[in-house]
Amino acid sequence: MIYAARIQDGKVVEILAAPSVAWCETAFGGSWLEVRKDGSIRGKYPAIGDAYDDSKDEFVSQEADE
Amino acid sequence: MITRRILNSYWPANSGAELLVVAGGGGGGGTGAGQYGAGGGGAGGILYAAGVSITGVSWTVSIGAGGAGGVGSTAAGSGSVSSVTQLGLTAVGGGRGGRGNGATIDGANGGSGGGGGGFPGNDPGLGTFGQGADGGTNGTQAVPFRGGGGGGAGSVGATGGAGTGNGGDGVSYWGVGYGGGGGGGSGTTAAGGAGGYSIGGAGGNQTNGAGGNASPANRGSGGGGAGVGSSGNTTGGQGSDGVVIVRYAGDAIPTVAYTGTMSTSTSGGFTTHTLTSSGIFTT
Repeated sequence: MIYAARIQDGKVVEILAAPSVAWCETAFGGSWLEVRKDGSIRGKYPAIGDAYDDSKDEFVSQEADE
Repeated sequence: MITRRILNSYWPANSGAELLVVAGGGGGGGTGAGQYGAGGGGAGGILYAAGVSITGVSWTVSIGAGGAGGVGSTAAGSGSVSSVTQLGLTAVGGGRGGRGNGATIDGANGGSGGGGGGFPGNDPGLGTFGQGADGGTNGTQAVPFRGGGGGGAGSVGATGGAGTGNGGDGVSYWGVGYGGGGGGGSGTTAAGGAGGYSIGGAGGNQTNGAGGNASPANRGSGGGGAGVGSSGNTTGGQGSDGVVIVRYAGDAIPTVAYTGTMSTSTSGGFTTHTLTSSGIFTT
């Protein structure tokens, strides 16, 4: 089992526990990326609404407007 | 404690299956240097159905992950939906907890709403009717400046501020609790709010900093809000993943199969399939 994040318009819209990224693409369509809860890949375990920077292959956090 | 259990003795063998769909819990809010604790994450939404035909079915099941905890001024993540597509059952993910110190990150709406962060104006999120309850507010601005508790499937999160900030209660199905809200974090060495139903994450405080992760796994509970640390940013706890449970009278159907992760048990004349990752369920 892995965790996969669905990316839509450059942002994370949901994260599922799933057999594989390919399984998510087949079952639900769209673009998916593997993520890990320990944050060991792609910079962090993303939150829904975080942006994905494909040039760095990293997620970018939503920051508060200070 | 709210119990929605259906007693075995009143469940005839030919009445089809029962389904429980639980979404992922929301992450607890983060906080930083200052005096305000963060809000607890809301529980994932819960849907129950009975009398569902289970003969010759093929269901696409999604299992929503628990949300990430927030860190300092970085927003926590709400939980993700769990669903059974062919039955039109979609449980909404739990709302994230609100930020502690500093403005502009409210608790989010969800299956149950995230608790409001301790900072004035960081409001709680609302729950979804029929799936969960609202998050708790941050209350009056008074010691120990707790964040509000995350909403639970069974009750609203407790008010923070000088209130307990406890996470809302979960609900019980077949003797197992689901959907506890995360406790709000504390701004002092006083304890953070308790996790709802003992399955939501506890809020942190000035001694331990981080909010607790929701535990055990696959209960759709919210993470604890971060407590104000002795220095720097502190982290909210992660929400726990969702689950889908299929239960019916009698022995396991010989042809049952699942492409994701499934465990099966038979007890008291009932078979229970517990699905903990997404997949295709067939009989």
